[in-house]
Amino acid sequence: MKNRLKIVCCAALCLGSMWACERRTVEPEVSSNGWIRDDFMWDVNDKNGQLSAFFLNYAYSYLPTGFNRIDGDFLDAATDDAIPSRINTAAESYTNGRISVMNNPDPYWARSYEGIRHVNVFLANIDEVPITDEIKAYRKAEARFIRAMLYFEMLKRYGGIPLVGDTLFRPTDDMELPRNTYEECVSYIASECNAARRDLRAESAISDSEWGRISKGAALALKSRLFLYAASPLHNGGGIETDPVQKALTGYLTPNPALYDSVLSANQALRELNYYQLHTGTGTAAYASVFTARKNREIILARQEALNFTIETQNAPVGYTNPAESNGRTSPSQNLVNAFPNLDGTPYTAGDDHPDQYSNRDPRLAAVVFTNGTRWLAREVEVFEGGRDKPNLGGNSVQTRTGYYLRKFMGDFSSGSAYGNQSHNFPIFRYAEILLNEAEALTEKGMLEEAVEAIIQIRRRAGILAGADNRYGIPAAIDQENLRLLIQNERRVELSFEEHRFWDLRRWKIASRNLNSILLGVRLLRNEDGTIRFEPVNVSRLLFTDKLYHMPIPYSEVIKNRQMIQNVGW
Amino acid sequence: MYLFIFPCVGKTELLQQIEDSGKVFRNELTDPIAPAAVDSIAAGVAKGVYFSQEKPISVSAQDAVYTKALEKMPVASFLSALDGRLAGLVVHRSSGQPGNEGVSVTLRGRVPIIVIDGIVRNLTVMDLEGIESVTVLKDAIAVAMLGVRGANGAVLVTTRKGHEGHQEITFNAQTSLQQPLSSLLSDPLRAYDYGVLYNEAQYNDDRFLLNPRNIAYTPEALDAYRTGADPSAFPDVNWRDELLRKRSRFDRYTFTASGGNEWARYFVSAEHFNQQGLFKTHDWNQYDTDTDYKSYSVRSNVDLRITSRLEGGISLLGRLLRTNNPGNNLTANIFSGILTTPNNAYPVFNPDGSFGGNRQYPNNLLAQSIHSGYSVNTKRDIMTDFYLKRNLDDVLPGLWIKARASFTSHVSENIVRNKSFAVFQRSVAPSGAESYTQFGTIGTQANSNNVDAQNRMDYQEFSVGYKRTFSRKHGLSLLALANRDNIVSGSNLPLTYKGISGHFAYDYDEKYLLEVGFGYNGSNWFPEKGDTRYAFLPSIGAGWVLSKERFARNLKGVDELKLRASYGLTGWDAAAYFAYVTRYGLGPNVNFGTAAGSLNTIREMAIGNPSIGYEKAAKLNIGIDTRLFSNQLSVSLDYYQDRHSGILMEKGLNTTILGQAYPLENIGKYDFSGGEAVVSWQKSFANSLSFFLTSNIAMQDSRVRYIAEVYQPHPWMERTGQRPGQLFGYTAEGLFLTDAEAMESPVMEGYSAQAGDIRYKDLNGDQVINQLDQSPIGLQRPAIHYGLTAGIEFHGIDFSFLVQGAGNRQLLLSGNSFYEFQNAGTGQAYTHHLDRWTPEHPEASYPRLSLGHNINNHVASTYWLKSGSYLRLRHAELGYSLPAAVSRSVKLESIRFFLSATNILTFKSKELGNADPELFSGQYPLQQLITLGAKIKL
Repeated sequence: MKNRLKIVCCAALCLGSMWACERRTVEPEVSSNGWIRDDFMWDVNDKNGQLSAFFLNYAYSYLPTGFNRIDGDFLDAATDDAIPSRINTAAESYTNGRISVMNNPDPYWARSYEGIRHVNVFLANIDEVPITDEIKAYRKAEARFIRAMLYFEMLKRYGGIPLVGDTLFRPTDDMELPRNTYEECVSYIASECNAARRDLRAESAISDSEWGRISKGAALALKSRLFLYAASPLHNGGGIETDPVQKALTGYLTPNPALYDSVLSANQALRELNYYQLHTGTGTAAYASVFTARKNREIILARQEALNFTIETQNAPVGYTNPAESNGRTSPSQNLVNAFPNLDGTPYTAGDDHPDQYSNRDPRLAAVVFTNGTRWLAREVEVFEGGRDKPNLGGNSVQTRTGYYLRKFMGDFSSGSAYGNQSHNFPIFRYAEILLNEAEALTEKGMLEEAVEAIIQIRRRAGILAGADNRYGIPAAIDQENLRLLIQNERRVELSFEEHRFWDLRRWKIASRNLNSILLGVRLLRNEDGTIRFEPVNVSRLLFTDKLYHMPIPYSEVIKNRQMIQNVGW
Repeated sequence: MYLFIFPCVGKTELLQQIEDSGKVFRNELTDPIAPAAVDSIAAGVAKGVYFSQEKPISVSAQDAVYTKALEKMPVASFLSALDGRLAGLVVHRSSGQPGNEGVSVTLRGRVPIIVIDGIVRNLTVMDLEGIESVTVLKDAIAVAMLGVRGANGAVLVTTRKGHEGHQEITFNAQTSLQQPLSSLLSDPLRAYDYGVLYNEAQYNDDRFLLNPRNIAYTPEALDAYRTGADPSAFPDVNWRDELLRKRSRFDRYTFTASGGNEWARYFVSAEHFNQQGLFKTHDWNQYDTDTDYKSYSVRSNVDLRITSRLEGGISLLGRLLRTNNPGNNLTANIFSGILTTPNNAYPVFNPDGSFGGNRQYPNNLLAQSIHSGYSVNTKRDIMTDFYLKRNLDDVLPGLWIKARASFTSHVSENIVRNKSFAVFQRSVAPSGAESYTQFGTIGTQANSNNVDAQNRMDYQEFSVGYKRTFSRKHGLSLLALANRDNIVSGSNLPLTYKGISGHFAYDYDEKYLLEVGFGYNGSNWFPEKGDTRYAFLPSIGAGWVLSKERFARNLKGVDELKLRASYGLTGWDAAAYFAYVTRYGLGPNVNFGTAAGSLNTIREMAIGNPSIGYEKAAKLNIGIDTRLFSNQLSVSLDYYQDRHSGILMEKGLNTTILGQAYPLENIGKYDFSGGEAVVSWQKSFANSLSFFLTSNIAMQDSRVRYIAEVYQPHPWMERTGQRPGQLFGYTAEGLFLTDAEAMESPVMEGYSAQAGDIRYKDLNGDQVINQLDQSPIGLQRPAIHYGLTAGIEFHGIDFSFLVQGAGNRQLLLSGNSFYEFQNAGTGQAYTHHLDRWTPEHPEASYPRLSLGHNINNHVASTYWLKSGSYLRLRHAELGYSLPAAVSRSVKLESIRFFLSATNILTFKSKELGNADPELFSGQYPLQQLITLGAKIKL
């Protein structure tokens, strides 16, 4: 009996100890995986709000980028300004008709809603963190600006999108939301800009170490662009849709001329900040340094990246080898080159085969493209047939398809044998754009001479000769139609490769003409005596159909949301 | 044929063994028919997880394979030895690389859990001679006690133990010659053909361009490739021949000793495995750069009778697996490099002896294999099990208690001694002066070591059992068990399973059978306060042995006839690491400031799912077992239906408006159903001729019942109702014969189709071929797997073979081992491309050629579906045992010599060309082996 008891006790002990000696399960706090739990993330003990500041930092990574963004190419290489040097890359889909609901190499939808959620998580929790109201206010405003920016980026691509406000969705929520109308989106973004502007810091309050933070000017610049886009023919009553429900998604049903006034008042408010101006100097070097001098008064907001030389290795001519190996990804078109006026501001008309076509031209030309003979890495660029930068190796080797390479944004590596780390601004907003917005709005309102004034500021900085009449090549008494064309051309030249042309062609509703065309290039043939002969070539046939005025809503969204209306034609 | 290898087990031992599991044997146990019938101890017992039952009164669905069959196979992982042997089990392979074969198995369509000696352990490489049996547990009752770990079935491995009274020492030595099978459909093109086809592909692609590219290979270059006069400037390298050996060697040595007496029984074994790889090596290295694999494993299973009522035992396994690789683990890189390096890419060596290469190909493949150092991965494992069992007959006859503990430790360590190399591109100036351009740098050898995986597991178990027969009619068996399994992997917090489980079996006169089992367990990776952490999962099974009925007694030739059925709920705890916790973590840094300072960022990493729980499966199995004609013939049939629900997955309706990845939710519902048949026949004749044959066939079907699928615009696009993993693609209707036809037919959006492109069926009639035209393609039939083993033995000569195959199998060919000029045109092309479409050759088997990815032709469609059904002579063996008189004269109990062949013969569709139906994508190939060996028993 005693024995039995012993055994039973033993057994009970064994069983009990297995259960009981278990320590309480520990949930991960900050484990090796770098996890931070909810309550430590938004922590009442984080007196300086360090973790929440890091959280806000991440929101900045949702700001637009632009360098070789579309699978290694510029979005501008999907316009008449350039073509990817590689055959059949994703960017070419926009001009060869391959864009579909399944194939859009500029997928902004998912990434934008990700950023919007990030901002909403921040806004929902930041009040837990014990930082001063002043800091809290401008950090919230920065987050709200980024959210507004993401909505604008979607608006210009797709038209109206579902606005989610401050809602922080749970996976189980009903997210089959309908698209808001274009007008609703414009007013929402504008009101967010107003709210952000109130709390954002003034430009002067941003220290050198904080350069790149969003300040008041960015909110106003976004408003300026937002209203300019809204006022443009495609969106302001001129939509391609016939069904009013569809049309309201991508624009106003009837023209609203007051939108141009909104552009002007946003610009006026921006000028009243008394901070922004065109970057100092005139001519090629001055223009080039807008993109390489990290802090300058022209930049309202630029995408901040580490010092590097990626843009150089991606786009400089292909003839350079290790350690300056370059890939020549982008081939600017003859169409773009021809858009640069002469040095005196008059349009270039001498022809694609003019043997001396690069001299006496707008100084910005030299800052934007490599032409034959441009000095780079201690030699002259050779894009003539068989030259080092157009060796014609055949097969899949990459070289320029147009006779040009992209030079814009690069540091000055005309001498030396290798690249070094360099600042590169990809401007999200810069003052030159504000001036061009101003000129466009004034022109549409019929205030032509005021518009000419704004263009003259741009041309003066560009280094164009003032001329005897001090009009920098702009004809006296220019009429509205011609001024409109001149401004369109000026915008193309000044803002080239900054992701404007792609959208400008659409909002002006001229894409069906400009993008149904032949993309031109030149073939350079070197004569026995070393002189160069130019031979125009048709590089590619650009195709555009009306449905391309708006990007398709991703297929994967449409089949998950019965309320989602696809854009016309897709 | 096995008698000299394995102890002949007498009935007394059988009884003894079965007494071990607690039940006094009542009726005459008829020798069950199994291919290895002499493994009768094992074969007489039906195993479940944690319990066992005599086969005649078991109601569960299972199938087993024993030492004899396993030890024949020249493989490292026992999983690789299971092809075609167990009904319902399918073996999958992803590579043929020694020691890194990527073998996995599915059981009735799901990946089963592996249980080694009663403990869940994912360890599949061990000494094959040390395994007594591998049993697959297919129905609910057999895995009931696993609770939330049982839903996918189990592979149960039982290691060998010593037996009282039979001392036995064996030594088995074998050596094999390995030859690779082809993992490519056809050979890479010679340089000249490559150039010609490249020009043709480029011409095709550029036909509609305004400004076509310059011709890639000039007539002069093609001529140079054809004549081969200047191999330095115009190389033509067959990379496979340069890099790979035609044959290699593989040796295995195994020593075992077993025996015992009343007080102690033991089984010890040691095995050494030495398998060469495929890579050629070079004398200049003082180290090995081949993909060699060596393993050493030592096992000791000892059981002790401590007192008349107390037993105990210790099982130990130590193993060391050592895999060598060229460079820093470059084997896979080299094999994929072969697919992207055309024969004319660069010369292997320049005329001056340096490695060839150029800007596009700076990594000379041969240099990667023999001139970039080496790396060694060593896996070290220790597995120790301990148990004590007290017989409580003094308290209550038939009662016992048992405690078990186990500790397992695993370390995988890499030692890397790699170095970088340079390649040189030779150019000759018109003056004849040679110059060399260097790509890459010549580096010194790095030496580093790191541990890429480290984990340990401790396990405790306590059980109480009771087994007794009342009135010689009522058989009763009860088992209750509590266990705790704690797994610590890397720096993760431990994963701890805890639970209790039980099994109850009753039989009336071994005629009416009833089994009930349950598991109640869960893990700490589920929400602590949630109601999903622990699950109670019961199962029930019943059987009726008709042959025991009075009315069946007179049925002639029927020795056994049993109907059985089981049904139960099982679970699958697929918890990801604390997936219920919403968490934040560091993101990539951002830059601010005029000095572009780098600042930290934090983001929301994942949304937790607070209601995450285990998956469930309701498993129904109905079976019939019969033995006929004096046990010569046995047939088992099974039908099953497993309804899985709560499968963790991201829901189909996962709109991105949420702004974050969806957490996994318990929403999926899949059904698996099918049938299996096992037929065995065995006969011995008086003149020492014996013969056996066993075959199995399994049919496996499955259905997606629910995945929260998106609103598909057309019914043919729906995944729900199809098989999980069903291929979707376009329906090909041959090739366009003319450009005119191509231009007026529906094609891919934005694609300028031309003659020779694949024409697809426009399912929705919208004149465009797009995602709306994709429907299920390929065979819509259940998968069929079968195997057949047969053997004959006559006067010391034995012969046996295993045939294994798969039916209703289709392969979708794609990628750079099959398509032409992939990787933007730099990829390889193959001789099957010579039969491409051209205007002169419209009856081609391959579409017109193009460079890089062709959005029309290189997509999933019926055009690229090939039959993958095959029938393989997996293994055949011829053995000869010296007559006893001869072996005794050299003081040996027996000697057997054998010659075997593995993977020697395969019947498959011609569509697959040279490719092996298992590995056909250019990866490390499967090997065929010819093995010569001897087994000596002292």
